[in-house]
Amino acid sequence: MKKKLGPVSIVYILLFLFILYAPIVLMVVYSFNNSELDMGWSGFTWKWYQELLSANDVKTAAINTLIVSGASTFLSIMLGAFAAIGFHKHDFRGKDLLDSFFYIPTIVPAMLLGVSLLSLYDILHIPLSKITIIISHVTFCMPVCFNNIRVALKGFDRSIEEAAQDLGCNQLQVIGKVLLPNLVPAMLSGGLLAFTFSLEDVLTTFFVAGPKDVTLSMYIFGQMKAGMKPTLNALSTLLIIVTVSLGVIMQLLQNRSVANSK
Amino acid sequence: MDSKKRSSLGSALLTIGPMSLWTILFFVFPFLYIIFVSFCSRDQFGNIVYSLNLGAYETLTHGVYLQVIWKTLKMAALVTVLVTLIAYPYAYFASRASKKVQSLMIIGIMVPFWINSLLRIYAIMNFTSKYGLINNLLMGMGIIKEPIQILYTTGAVYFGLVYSLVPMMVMPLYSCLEKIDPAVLEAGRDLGCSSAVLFRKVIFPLSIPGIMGGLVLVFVPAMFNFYIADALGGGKTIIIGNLISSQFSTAKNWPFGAALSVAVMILSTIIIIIKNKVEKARTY
Repeated sequence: MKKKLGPVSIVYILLFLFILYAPIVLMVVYSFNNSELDMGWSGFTWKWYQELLSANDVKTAAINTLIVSGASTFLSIMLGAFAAIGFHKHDFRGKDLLDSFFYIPTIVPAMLLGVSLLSLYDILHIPLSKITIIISHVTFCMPVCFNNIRVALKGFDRSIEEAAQDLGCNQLQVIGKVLLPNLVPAMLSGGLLAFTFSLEDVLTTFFVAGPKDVTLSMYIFGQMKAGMKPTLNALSTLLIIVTVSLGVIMQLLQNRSVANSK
Repeated sequence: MDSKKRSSLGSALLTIGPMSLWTILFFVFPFLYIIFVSFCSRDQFGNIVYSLNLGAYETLTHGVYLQVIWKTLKMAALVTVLVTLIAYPYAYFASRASKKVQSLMIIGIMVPFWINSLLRIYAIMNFTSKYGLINNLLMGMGIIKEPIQILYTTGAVYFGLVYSLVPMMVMPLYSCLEKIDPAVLEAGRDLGCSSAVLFRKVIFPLSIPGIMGGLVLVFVPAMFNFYIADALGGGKTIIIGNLISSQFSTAKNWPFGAALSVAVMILSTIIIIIKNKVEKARTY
C-alpha cells in the first residue's frame, strides 16, 4: 500500500533537490556570463569557452587525463575480466575470502592508498609519472570491473557453455565464443564506472602525480585554490556534460546486462 | 586425471593470478610498508631513517595534533548526524512514493553521483561567494542588507561536506526502507500504534542497517577530504586529511604522516567492524 505523498513531503523533496542542483545549475549559467566577477548576470557570451579551448595547459591536462583514465580503464577491465572468468570456472578453498580481499582497495580511504603508494614508489626509486598514476588508479578501479563482470557471470546459464562443449568447443573457445560476447555489456558498464572513478580522483592522484603530469582533476584542484574564474565554470560545465552522459550510458548498459542475464 | 587437475590449476592461476598479484604488489605491500615507516624516524633532510622507534607516535600525542584529531572527529560526527537528518526524510518519502515518483527521486540523487565531487565543491564556492546565490537570496528577502562572509568559514566547510555526502546516505537508507514489508506497518496500525510510535518502534529500528551503511560512506570521507577543507575553509580549517597530506608534501615528515595514517586506518576499521556487528545483529 503505497500512499500519495502529502504536501509537506513534496515541499521537502523539492527543497532538497533545489539545494542539490542550484549550485550546479548556477555554475553552468555563469559559464555563459559576460562579466568576469560574480556580480550578477551581464549578458550571454561564449568567450570563456573560447579562452578555455585556446589555453595550452588545459589541453595538456585533457590529453593527460585521457591517457591516464583510458589506460587505467583498459587495464582494469582486462585484469577484472580475467579474474571474474577464473572465479566462474573454478571452485577452490578460500574463494569467498579472496573475493572480499579483492574489494578492500575500494573500501580503504583513497588518500591512504595515495600516501602508501607514494612510499612504495619512493622505496623502489620509481620516479612519479603518468605510469605511477595509472598503477594507482588500476588498484582501485579493477575491483569495480571485477564486480560488474562477476555479477553478470553469476546470472549466466551454464547449460549454454555445456552445449558449446558438447558441440566440440574447447575451454578457450568456450570463453572466446560464448562467454566474452555475453560479457561485453558488463565489461563496458564496469569500464565506464572505472573511467568515472579515475576521472574524478583527486585524493590519490595528488600524491602520486609527477609535477608535469597534471590531469584535469588536478588542474581544477590547483585553480580552485586560487579562487573562482569564469573559465573554470566553462571547464566544469564541459566536464559535467561528459560525465553525466557517461553515467546515462552506464545505466542503460547496466539495464541491458541485467536483462541479458535474466 | 592428474594432468587435467594440473591444467585446471594452471588456468586458475592464469586468470585469477594477475589480479591477485596486482593487489598484493600495489595494495598489500605498500600498506605494510607504511605501517613500517610509522615506526621509523627522519633525518634533517626529510629522509627516512630505518631505526625502529615510537617517536612518530609520541609526536601524535602532542597537544596540537591531538586537538586536530579531536576536532576532525567532532566535525565528522556532526556532519554524519546532519547528513542523516537531512537524508532520512528524502529516503523515507522515496520508499513510500509511487513507482514513478520513486524512480524520479532516485535519478535525482544519482546524477550528482556522476558529477565529479571536486566540481560540486567548486559550485559551492560560487554558491556561497560574496555575490553568490545565498547572499542574493538573503538580501532579496530583506534578511540581510550587506553580503555576509560565508565562503572561507568553518560553516562553508560543513555545508560543503554535508552537501557532497548526502547522496551517500540516501542510497543505503532508501534500499533499507524500501524493503520494509507494508504488512508489518499495517499490523502495527491495527494494533493501535500511532504514526509516531510506529516510526519509533518499527520503521526506525528496521532502518538502522541503512544508517550504518551510510555511516561508513560519510564519516570516513569526512575525516579525509582535504580539498573541501582547503577550498571552502580557505586553509583555515585543518582536518586530519590536511595534516597527513602536508606531512607527505611540504613538511616532509613521512614517519609522522604514516603514524597519523595508521591511527585513522585503525579508526576507520573500528567503524567498519561496528557497522558489520550491527548489521549482523539486525538480520532476521
